Amino acid sequence: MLFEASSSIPAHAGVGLKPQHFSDILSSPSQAVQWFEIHAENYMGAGGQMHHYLTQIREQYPLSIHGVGLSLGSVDTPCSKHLAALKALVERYQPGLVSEHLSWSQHRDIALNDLLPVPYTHESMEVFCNNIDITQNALSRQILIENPSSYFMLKEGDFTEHEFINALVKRSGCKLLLDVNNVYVSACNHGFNALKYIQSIAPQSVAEIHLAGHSVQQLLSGEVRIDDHGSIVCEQVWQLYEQTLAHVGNKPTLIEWDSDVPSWQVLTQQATMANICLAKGAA
Amino acid sequence: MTKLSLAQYQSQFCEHLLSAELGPQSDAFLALLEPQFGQQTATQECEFRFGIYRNNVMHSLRSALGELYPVVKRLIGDDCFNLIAVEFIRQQPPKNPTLLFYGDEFIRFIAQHRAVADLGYLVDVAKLEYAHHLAFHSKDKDALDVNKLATIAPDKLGDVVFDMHPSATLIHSPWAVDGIWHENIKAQPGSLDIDALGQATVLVYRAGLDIQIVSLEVGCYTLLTQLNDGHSINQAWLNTQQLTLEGGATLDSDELSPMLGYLLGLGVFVDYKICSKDTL
Repeated sequence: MLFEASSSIPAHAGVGLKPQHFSDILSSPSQAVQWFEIHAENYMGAGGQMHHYLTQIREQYPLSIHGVGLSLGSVDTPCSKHLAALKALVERYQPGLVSEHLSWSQHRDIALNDLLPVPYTHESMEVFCNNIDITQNALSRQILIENPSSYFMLKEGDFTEHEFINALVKRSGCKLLLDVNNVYVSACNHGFNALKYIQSIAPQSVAEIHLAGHSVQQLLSGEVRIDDHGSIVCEQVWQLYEQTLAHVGNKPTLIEWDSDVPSWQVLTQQATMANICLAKGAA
Repeated sequence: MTKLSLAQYQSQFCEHLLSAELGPQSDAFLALLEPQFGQQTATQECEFRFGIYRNNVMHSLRSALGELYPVVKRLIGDDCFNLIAVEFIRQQPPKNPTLLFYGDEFIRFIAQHRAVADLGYLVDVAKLEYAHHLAFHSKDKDALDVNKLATIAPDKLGDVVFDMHPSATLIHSPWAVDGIWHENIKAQPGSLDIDALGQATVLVYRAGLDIQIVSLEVGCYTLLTQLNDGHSINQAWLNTQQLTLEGGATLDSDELSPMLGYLLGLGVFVDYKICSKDTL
C-alpha cells in the first residue's frame, strides 16, 4: 500500500497514538499535531480496529514506529519472530522513523515487559552493537535508540551513560532518540547534572526528542522520580527541552502520555507548548 | 561490570524481579547497586530502588490480564483477581514480548485455583472473554456474499463446505456465560439467577469492526459446530439431527433452511467450496 502522506517526520510536535483518540484525530484534527508515533507491539495483531484506524491515520500523517520488545541489551540476539513481526509492520506502514531502547526486557524465554537497565560495560557495548546491527540489517534501515530513565545505578561500569551512547551511535551507525524527561528523571534519581549530560551528547546524533510527564515518590529521606507518562510535562523538563533544542537544533518532538490518558484537547495543548519552543528555536 | 558477566546479571535480575519477596538471598545482587543516600540506609534504599522495577513489571502484567478478563475481575473482585494474577505471572511469565499473545493459559490456571473453585461459571466466562480478545485482533475478512451461492446447481448445494470467519469461536457452557458477561460489562450490574438461566450456546466473532456475542438456539449451534468441523451441509445436518436425537429431541428436515439462512445472515462464513464427498 502506498500512503499519500509523506513518510518523513517534520521537526514539529507529534503525539503518541492512543486508541482513545482515534475518532477525535479523524474528526477534529489539530494543527498542533503533525505526526504520530505508535508502540510497535500494540499493532502486532492481525487485524481489527487497531489496523483499521492506524491505516486511516497513516493516510493523513507521517508515522514513527517505536518498539518496546526487541530487548537490544539482552545477551541473546533479538527474537527472530519478533523482528519479523516488526519488519512486517514497518513494510506495511512505511514509517519515517523506527526506534527502540537502550535497555533489555527479555531473558531466555521470559519477556519482562519493562525497560530494564544495562550495565555500561565493554561487554554491553558489544552486545548492543551486535543486536543493533542485526536489527538494522533485518529492517534494511537505520534505527534510533532511546536513552532510558532509571531508578538505580550500578557500582561497576566502564562508561557513563552519555559516554556509552556517544560511543554506541558512532560504532553501530544508529541515531539517538533523546528523551529529555528520561534524562531529567535519571539526573534527579542519581544526582547528576541533566544539562551537562545533554550537552555531552553529540548533537548530530539526535534524530528525535521525547517529552513526557513523571511522578514523584518518597524514598527514605529523599525522593525518587517515576517515569510513568501519566501527566503533563513538568516545568523543569520544558526548560531542559529548550536548552536541548539550543544544543541539537530543532528535531521532531513527541509528547508521550501512556497512563491516565487525557482528552485529545489536553494532549494537543502539550503539543502546542512543544511547538512554541520549536518556534523559538527556529527564530 | 567486573564481577558478573552480562548473562549472570540478567539471570539474577530476572530471578529477583519475579521472586515473591526480596530477602537475604537477594543481598549479593542488591550489593551491585550504588546507594545515593549513604551507607546507613543502603540496604533499604537498594531494595526500594530495585522494588520499583518489581512493581512496574507486576503492575503492567497484572493490568494486561485485568484488561483481557474484565468480567472475571469484576466477578471475583480486584483483590482476589490481583492475587491470582500475581501467582500466575510468577509461575507463567510471558514468553512473547507482544502482550497481545499473553494470558490464554490464565484460563487453565483459574480452573485449578482453589480460591475460585466454587464459582463453576468463572472458567467459561474467561473463555468467552478470551474469545472476545481473539476476535478483536483477528484477521480482517469480508463475509461471504450469499448471492454467490445462487450460482451453485441445486443438486450440489448439500456438498457445500464453508470456511468460518477467522475471528469465530464457539462456546458451549452449562452456565449462561453470555448473560453473565452482558450484565457485568454494565456500569451498574444487576443480579442474575444463573441457575434459572440454564446453559449457553454462543458464537463470538467479529463482523467488520464490531464484536458479536450471539446466543444460538441449540440445534443451530450444533449445526454451526458441525460446519465449523469442515463437514458439508448434508453431512453437518445429518450429524446435527443425530446429536439432537441423542439429546432426547428431534429436528425436522424443514428446519435446516431457516437455520442456514440465519447463519448466512450473521456473516460468519467467509468462503465456501464444493466437496462431492464428505471425507471427514
